[in-house]
Amino acid sequence: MSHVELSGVGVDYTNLGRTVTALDGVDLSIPAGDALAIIGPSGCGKSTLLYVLSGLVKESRGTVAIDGELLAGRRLQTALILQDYGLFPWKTVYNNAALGLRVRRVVKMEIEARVGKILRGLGLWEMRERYPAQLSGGQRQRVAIARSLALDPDLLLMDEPFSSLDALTREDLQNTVLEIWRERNANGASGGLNGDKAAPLTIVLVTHSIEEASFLGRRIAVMGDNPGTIATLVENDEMGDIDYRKTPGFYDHCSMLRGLLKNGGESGALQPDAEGGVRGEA
Amino acid sequence: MEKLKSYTVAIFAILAGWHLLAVILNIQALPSPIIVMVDFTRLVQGELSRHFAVSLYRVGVSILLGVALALPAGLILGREEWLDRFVAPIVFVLYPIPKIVFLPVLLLLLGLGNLSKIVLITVIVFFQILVTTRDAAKEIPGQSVMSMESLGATSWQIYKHVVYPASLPKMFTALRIASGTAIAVLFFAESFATEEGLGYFIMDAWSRFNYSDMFGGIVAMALMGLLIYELLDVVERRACAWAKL
Repeated sequence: MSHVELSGVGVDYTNLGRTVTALDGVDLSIPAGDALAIIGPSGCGKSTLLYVLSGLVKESRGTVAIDGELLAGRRLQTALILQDYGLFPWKTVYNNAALGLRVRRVVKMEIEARVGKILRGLGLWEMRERYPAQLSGGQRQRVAIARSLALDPDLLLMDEPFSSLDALTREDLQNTVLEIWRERNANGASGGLNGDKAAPLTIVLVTHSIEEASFLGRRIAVMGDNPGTIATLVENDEMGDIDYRKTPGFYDHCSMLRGLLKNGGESGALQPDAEGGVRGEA
Repeated sequence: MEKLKSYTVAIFAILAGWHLLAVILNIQALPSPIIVMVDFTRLVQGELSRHFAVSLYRVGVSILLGVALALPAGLILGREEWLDRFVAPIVFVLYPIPKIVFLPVLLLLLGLGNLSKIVLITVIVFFQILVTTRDAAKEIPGQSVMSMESLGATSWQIYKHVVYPASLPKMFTALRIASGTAIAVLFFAESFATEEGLGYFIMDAWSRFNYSDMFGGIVAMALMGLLIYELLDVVERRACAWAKL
């Protein structure tokens, strides 16, 4: 279970003696099993927000609580996927995927069982002896996903995970993430890729792609020009199906998001739309 | 196999150039490779092999010791800024000093045997590996470390899984260069107050005006360099297969 609660979170960096505010006054509640996409222009602090959730960056103000407990540094059930550098070129696919478990000193037999199952599920088993340099970009991000899933997380954080991939590969991987999320959150379903546990999986995805946010975000936090605040939170109840991408509703949703982004995240100029529902944050 | 072929071609080219030069100059101090090779086959069965073994031992131990000390030290300096701030200036003051000037001191302190030579070459290898691995460890992207931290790695695990493997290819490049320097220094060290090693053999032959013996010693030294270079290549191929992809 992971219910994430941020209240009044702010982050200041000191850069060359000057204090830069990357985040300010972020209030956000993410229920367990949610899929939240965070979208916004470069430099709006969306990655910083993700790092705060991961425990790698400590908030300067406010509180971050997961499952009712204040976040103090890293948390074992949180997995993070980065755009680059996540995989190590000196480790084979298998060793990259197993790294998190090795670091946590999981018994070898269990690592073999868990990693084997996940690699098979993601179509990577045949490539387990290869090095990242011998893989395509899409396969590499699959390995990064495999490594995160091996940790059996209940909170999966992704920082622009597919932005360096070509369009079709990107959609393919978005489908994979959606399937994983749906399997883990289907009522009474047993497990999915990860075994028999049916603990809900919460996904927080940082992206600059409107389509990606609409496709993977059940809720979408739009961050504004005003650095470091969440301007609008958009509901996106229609998502959840692979074919959503092809529906008119998807296009409508994308253009609505585009409008919000152009307005610097302020929803004032927009009429709340009947189904999507635009809700401005005070 | 491909390698053997290219080495054979290279050796023949060198021998041909050498022979040509010997014919043109026509002086005692530069005998033709034909004479040297005939002499060499005789020398190998005798004392030259012993001198070769002694020199190889000195260089080999020095390289191993130098790496064993410099690799961990360089990686730690590259990652631990608080330590680097204090130690790096010391390293950079000492680095450009030609370590060979310490030979007289080392001979006095450690004697005329293997130890003084091994310590001298170890120090030279140490500095070259230290500076390179320190810089390599510094260049590791912060995101690599962050991704390890997000997996819950301890700082020892970050060294083991990221810092060490990421720096290894550069360490090997430095080691190749250092091994050349090591052999050159070995020659110098062995030409003083000793009766063992290829350096001694070459200088001794020179003092006897036995130029074909002298060149036999030089050929042995070249072969030793080649052997070390190829050994390093085999080790690097096994240790950093990923870097060649």
